[in-house]
Amino acid sequence: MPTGAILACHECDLLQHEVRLAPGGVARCHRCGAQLYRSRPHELDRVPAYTLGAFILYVVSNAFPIVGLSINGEVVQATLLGAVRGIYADGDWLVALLVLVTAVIAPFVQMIAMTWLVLLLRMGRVPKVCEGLSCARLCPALGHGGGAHDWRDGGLGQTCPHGRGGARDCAVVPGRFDAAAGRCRGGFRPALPVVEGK
Amino acid sequence: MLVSQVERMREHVACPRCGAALHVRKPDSIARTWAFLLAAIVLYIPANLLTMTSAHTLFGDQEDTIMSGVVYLWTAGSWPLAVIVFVASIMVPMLKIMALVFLLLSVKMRSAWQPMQRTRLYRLIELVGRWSMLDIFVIAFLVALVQLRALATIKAGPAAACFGAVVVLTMCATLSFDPRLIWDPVEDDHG
Repeated sequence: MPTGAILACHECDLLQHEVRLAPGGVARCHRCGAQLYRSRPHELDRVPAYTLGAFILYVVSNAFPIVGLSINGEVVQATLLGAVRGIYADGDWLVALLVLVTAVIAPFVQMIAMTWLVLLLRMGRVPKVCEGLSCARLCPALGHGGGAHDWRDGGLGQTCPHGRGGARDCAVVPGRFDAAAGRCRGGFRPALPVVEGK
Repeated sequence: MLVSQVERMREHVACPRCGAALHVRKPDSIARTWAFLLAAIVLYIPANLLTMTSAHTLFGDQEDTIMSGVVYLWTAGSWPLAVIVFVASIMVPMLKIMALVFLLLSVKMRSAWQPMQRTRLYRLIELVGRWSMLDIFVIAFLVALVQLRALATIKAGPAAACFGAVVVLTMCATLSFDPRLIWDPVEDDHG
């Protein structure tokens, strides 16, 4: 069921109606098949669970050797940071930096970012990166389910108890908008996305 | 929401009619992608010609490029390893560069040919991107492991840094390419 909002596919820019999804459903672009958005139940439980699991394994993988070599009973082992230090000691700081950033720093930053995002959403706040998302996409993630609110479909008046009014059905395409005629050249007929899942 | 055809739009712009925030396309997509890609092509040459690893053992020194490593593995009988190294270190970066050049040229010519397949190609390049980094990790651990023994040392050569740069630069090129450009000519055709 269209919510009244229009969205553009982030991969091919095809304009499509936003439809409300059943839990577990996925909306895909009608034209290029890119995933537009999805509705996953308990997303805010799932993400911290995976992040916590990842964090534990991250600590283990950094604290213990990753590879070992045994020659004539003599064992040598290298940890992740040991490898970085070894290369740096060789004077190859560029490679050392590359390994450090991609294997140690980037996963850590990603975990912190996920935690921050989930914490904000849990506290009922909408982080800057999520601004502009309409209720149909944000509320399932917030655990408010989809369909329990006071929706007024079609056009200007979607309201959401969480104050997330979606984008309005706005049929202006900059670059194609013909100001004299007051409408877009070539017409404006948004497609319906392909909905998968339950 | 709305499709913005405005290029070089840096600030947040609102829809003139309803005030909703507009999404911005990737800025200067084509120019940036070319810049990263050309840098990657230039560095791809020393990455393959210079030494990747140099080993110093009691039996003498040996310097290896990527290709000589492949040849060594092949003649030593471990051809599955040789194939893996050849595919991961030589073929994949080359195919990635060629695919990006193809995408850029087709977008430049405003080709409406097989947009779905070209989008798939782009997604594939995006997916492959980070896996090429494995080579660098292998060298890093090799160096760290062997360094700990007095009998032999292995050092990473200048090609290692070049190869890492090629991987990073092709990833940057992929990220700065906007797949929406593939679909623009299609939209114009349908009017």
